[in-house]
Amino acid sequence: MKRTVFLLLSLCIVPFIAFSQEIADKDIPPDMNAILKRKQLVVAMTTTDQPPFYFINKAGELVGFDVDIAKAMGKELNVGLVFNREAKSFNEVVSLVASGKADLAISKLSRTLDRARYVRFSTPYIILHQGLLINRVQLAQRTSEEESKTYIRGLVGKIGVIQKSSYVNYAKENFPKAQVVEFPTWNETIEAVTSGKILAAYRDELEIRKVFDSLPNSAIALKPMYFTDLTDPIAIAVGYKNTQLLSWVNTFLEMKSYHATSKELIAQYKDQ
Amino acid sequence: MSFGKVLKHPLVLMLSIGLGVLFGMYGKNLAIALGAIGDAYLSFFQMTVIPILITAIVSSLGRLMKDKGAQKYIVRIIFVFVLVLTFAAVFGTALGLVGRPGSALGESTTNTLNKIIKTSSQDQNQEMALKSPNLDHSGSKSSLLDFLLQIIPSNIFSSLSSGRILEIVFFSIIFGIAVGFVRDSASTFLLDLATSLLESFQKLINWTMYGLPFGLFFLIGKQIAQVGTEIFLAMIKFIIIFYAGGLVVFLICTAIIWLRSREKNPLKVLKAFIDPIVISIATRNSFAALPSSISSLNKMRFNQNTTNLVLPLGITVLRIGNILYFAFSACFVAQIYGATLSAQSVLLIIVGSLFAGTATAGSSGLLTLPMLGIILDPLGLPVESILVVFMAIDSLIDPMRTLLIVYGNITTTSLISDREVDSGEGES
Repeated sequence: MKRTVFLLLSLCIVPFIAFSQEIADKDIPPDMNAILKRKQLVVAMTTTDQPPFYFINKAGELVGFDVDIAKAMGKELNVGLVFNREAKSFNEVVSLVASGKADLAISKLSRTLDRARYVRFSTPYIILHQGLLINRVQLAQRTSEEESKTYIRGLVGKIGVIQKSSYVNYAKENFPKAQVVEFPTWNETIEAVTSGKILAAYRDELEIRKVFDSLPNSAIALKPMYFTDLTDPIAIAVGYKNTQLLSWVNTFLEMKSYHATSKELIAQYKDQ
Repeated sequence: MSFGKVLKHPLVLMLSIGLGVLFGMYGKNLAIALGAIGDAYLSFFQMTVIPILITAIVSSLGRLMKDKGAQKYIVRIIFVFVLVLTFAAVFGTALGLVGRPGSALGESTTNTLNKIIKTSSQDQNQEMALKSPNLDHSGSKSSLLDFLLQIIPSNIFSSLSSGRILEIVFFSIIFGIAVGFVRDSASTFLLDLATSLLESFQKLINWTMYGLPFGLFFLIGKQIAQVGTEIFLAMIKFIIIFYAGGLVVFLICTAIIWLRSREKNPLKVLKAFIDPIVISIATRNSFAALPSSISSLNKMRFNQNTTNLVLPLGITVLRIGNILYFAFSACFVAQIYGATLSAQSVLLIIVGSLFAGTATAGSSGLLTLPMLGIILDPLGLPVESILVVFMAIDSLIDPMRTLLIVYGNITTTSLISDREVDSGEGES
């Protein structure tokens, strides 16, 4: 009888012991544990600035939307931040993460099927729309004002994109009748469209807004057109083994609600 | 001089315009708030426009058809109308080519224009779905044939209640011709009724003229208060050249009326037409100036019957100011985009502005501006961006455009109608 009472009593205590104990360090999955032990989160970004996502401001500091996300993550994990900016292109950023040289790529990275072969993608934190920056005179010589949207749907003519960017494929896919012209840089693409050598420049909404806002003669000479049904989802890339880190990143993005439209982003980081 | 005569005196009208300008410049908010008084005054004019339009056309056309020499008149009307239309288109094009309003604008002007286009462009014009064409409703393209077919009203009462002027004019012409073919004993009553209605409405308008100085003051005040100074300065070259050209046409018109009226003093011509002149400037509505134009032409003893037919018809279809402005602004757009104009494109501008201007028949104000596409599309020049700029300055341009329509049509009427020679000539 005494034994039975003792057993029952001890059973009642079990939950108290279980709850009062902290989650043991040994229970942390290995990928997360590595970062916590190292006390360092390595974030990859391309060498070239991508304002307003990441850029050096007038005071010489690295700032931007991606930088803000990285900093907030470091604070939540209570670890230091290291920015790896070795990558010359967006594909190299993916390589850095795939090879384990960086934990995360927060680098205005477009989620593409090609890249998804190498790394895991978080849920997109910004969905940019795609857009064309069209030379108005070139367009008017080809079609009338009322028919312009129909014309763009079956666009025939030269479309400029940046060499080896995701937009080379987008252009071939979305404008099959157009002639795709590749330029080494975005600036050269813009020059070509302003001078009328090509009909339109093709890139994400944000870059097109930036050009349209900054060029002095833009509104008279150029017409922006944003596509509501063509998106360019921007996401964070994580190495394939780091499943717990990926899950943590997704939870973080959801709880801290990091999302914005391109207009808001431009306005937010305009003065920096 | 009686108080009534003081209110109708040209100097008083000029004074109230001047005060209205000052009011609009220095009391912006108050001028906009009190603009409602001016608008109410304008409504008072518009109230009588449609009845006057119908009764004038029906009574004059009915009498003309009964006249043996009707054919001669109709040929003369068509001849003079085509002449005036061509003059307006050629003059506007020449003004744009010689004045060069759109070349060498300078950096600050270009920047201002850009800023205005960006802030007033509508977002929906910059968005589209690439793959689902059903989602966006692009504006319906109106062809010339559609335009002509729309003139025929299926229900004249619905045209009347929604004030679709072209349809009303079409109906009045057909009805007037029909009345002309009805035997005298049956139609005399109808023609007399139309005439007495017309004269009663004219009387009403004459009384309204006593309120003109006050109406002008509030209308002009509001107009000035709404003009943005920045865009005004950026487009100053364009505005000045257009007004200079308008002034030249105005002087040509005055000279023609003066010659036709056989009046000794040209200033008397100006004095006789002061009411339609100031009304068209202040109201920016050519139809609002119709009643006073008829009265003024009658006072100058031009054949009443011809006036009653030609003037309403002319104000509806002879859009002199609009044609001239469209040709001028097409040249401006070509210069902005650095397009070189070949002889063929100049011809396209002249013919295009004829069609575009005539297509504004029956409407006024901002609604007429998109017709510019009729000229620019064949030229391969973009319309959308510059249209925003034209809309922003239209409150300054529209007074001159309206004045040219009204005064130009008064001149056209004076060319067509003969002066009545009766015992009263010599007095005034």
